Amino acid sequence: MEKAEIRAVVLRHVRENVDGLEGVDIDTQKSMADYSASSLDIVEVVSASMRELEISIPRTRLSDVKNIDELVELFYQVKQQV
Amino acid sequence: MLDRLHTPSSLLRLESDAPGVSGLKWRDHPARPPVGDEVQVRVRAVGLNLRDVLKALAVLPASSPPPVIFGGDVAGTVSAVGPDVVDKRPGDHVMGSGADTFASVVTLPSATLAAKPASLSFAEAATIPIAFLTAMYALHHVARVQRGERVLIHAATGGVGLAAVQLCEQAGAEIFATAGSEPKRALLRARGIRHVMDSRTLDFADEIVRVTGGAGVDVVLNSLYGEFLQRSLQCLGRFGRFVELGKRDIFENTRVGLGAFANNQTFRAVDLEQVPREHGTELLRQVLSDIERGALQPLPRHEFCADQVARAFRLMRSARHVGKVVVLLDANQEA
Repeated sequence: MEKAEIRAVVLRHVRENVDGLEGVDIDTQKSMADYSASSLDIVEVVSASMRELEISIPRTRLSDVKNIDELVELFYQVKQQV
Repeated sequence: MLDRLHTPSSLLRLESDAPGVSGLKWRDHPARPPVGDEVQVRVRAVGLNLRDVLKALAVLPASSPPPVIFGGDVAGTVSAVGPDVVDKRPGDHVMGSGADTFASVVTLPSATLAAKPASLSFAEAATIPIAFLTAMYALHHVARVQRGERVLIHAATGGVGLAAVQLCEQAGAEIFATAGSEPKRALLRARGIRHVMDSRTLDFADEIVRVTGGAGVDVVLNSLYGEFLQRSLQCLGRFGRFVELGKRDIFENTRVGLGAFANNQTFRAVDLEQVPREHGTELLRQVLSDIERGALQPLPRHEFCADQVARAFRLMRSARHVGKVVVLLDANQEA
């Protein structure tokens, strides 16, 4: 799977689960918290994305992720190993 | 969907078999006739709690085999009683709590239910049990808060937070409150709370040290997670009592250093579900007595109808609510 496809999946779940992003260009250098996502909004985005991508990543590895790009990169690396 | 909730022959229960708010579904579920000391209640309003949201997101494990079911505060009308029930009868308006109350009809032990004061609507009643019982148990039974003591209430505009604010005001304690947005903090200041801080940065700990001249607070009611818990422990003064109301750090077995307890401090976790039922009922009676004489008020609330239950969960997940999130079932039914 291409990284661009993974980014599209993540961004779709970000838009579905974080309020106030209608018509907003999401800067993937930013974290979801920068867009006022709560910690549980982020849990939902991450778990919904992993479910769709059919991957599973321990919470300890996810806690190091600083922004949306890093999340996409982590998903991409794990997906390559599947 | 709402029409189906009104039809006696079609009884529904909220279930989930996939993690996430979008996995919530109302499904057919037959009512269970009451036995012994049980009471069957036609549900009119349910109060949502963070535990339900954590269960929906699979952050907390389900307490029973799938499907995941939900429940919290409930207010409704008695539809049947078991043979051993002497203090309730069909038609009575009741309120209380239970593990499976997101349903058209629920069957609960009589002791978990109290008579709903006539002055309260069903929706108002559904704001009260778990928030006030948690706050009252934590502040009075566990922390034994005294007049003049300093109490840090995290997430103070949530249900438990606002109940704790009322109880601290009643007890004459000095409140230190945190909240996650400026409008929420403004609401707390408008109530007259002087020490209001941000719950989304760790600066509150330094602020408390500064304001108290290094003495810290006597009681922490914690509902924050991770590093916020650790920093809150550092705010605890001599003989301070730290009351953990959160679930995530307990479930994830977070470690804390014993150095935080060098000056006679105490750590105590509270899970209301494990408090003996009789004790919970007595606390609920006290709260309702205070509400009837105007000493305590029902909590502010956001109302949703049954069809909007996913929106209700989403609002609490996003932490944009103030007070309680209440789902109305049977909204059009006559009392």
